Amino acid sequence: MMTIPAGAKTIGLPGFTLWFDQEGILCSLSNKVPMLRLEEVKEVVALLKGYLGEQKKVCMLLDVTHSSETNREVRDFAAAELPKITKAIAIVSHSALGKMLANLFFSLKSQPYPVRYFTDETEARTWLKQHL
Amino acid sequence: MKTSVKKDRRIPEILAQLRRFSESDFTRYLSISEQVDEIDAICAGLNVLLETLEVRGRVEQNKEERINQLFAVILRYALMDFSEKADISIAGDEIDGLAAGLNAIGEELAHLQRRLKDCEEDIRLLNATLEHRVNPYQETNR
Repeated sequence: MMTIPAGAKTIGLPGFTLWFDQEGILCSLSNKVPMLRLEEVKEVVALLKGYLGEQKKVCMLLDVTHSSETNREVRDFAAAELPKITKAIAIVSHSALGKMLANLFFSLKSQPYPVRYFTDETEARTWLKQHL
Repeated sequence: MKTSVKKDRRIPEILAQLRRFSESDFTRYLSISEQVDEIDAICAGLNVLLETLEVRGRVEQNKEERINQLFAVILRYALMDFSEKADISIAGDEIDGLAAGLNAIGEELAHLQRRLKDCEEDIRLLNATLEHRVNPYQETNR
């Protein structure tokens, strides 16, 4: 699983912890939480936009090992919001559930930015760097 | 040496324990004597094995129950009843992956089912409107 580097300035949101690495990649580590409702996800997205501030779009490295199930309306909302802040997404998961949830989202909701699934974090970072 | 092992009362207990293991009975521990010899070491080892097998058995049973729940949800979906969802455990394993996939399929199908009903209602209304408009002309042409 991805580890938070010592000294990283993190922000804890319901469902995941975020930080920027030295390359400027936004890293996200999922936490085990009950399924988030749409209202909670809207708050999370608002907080995320606040965290990103003036930055336009970012490359994201998502560790979805412990991510929670989402319902249809949350998927719809996320699918509409993510393109506004995303350049590219690399996903890593060490659980079958996380892998399935990520594949479900990106299969059901076609996104305009590059998305790729990795089993190795280093490979994911190498791939993301070309989109920075 | 052979004679003393044969006479040892712990040997039949070990054999009985092995028989219980073969019948998936992991309820009884073997007692450890005060001799603390090789046979006691075997008993202690069998007790550890018992715990491992017992835990493994519980995990297997839990998996079986979760798979049975998936079957129940699939049967409901086959009847176009999408009201039930599969539970997702804390394990995050392949069964949970299947459950999450199944839940998403159920949600998508329920959504399509609602849209289909709406479309059918629209068509029914359009037909009724059309009939209402066409009828006066038909009356005139008679």
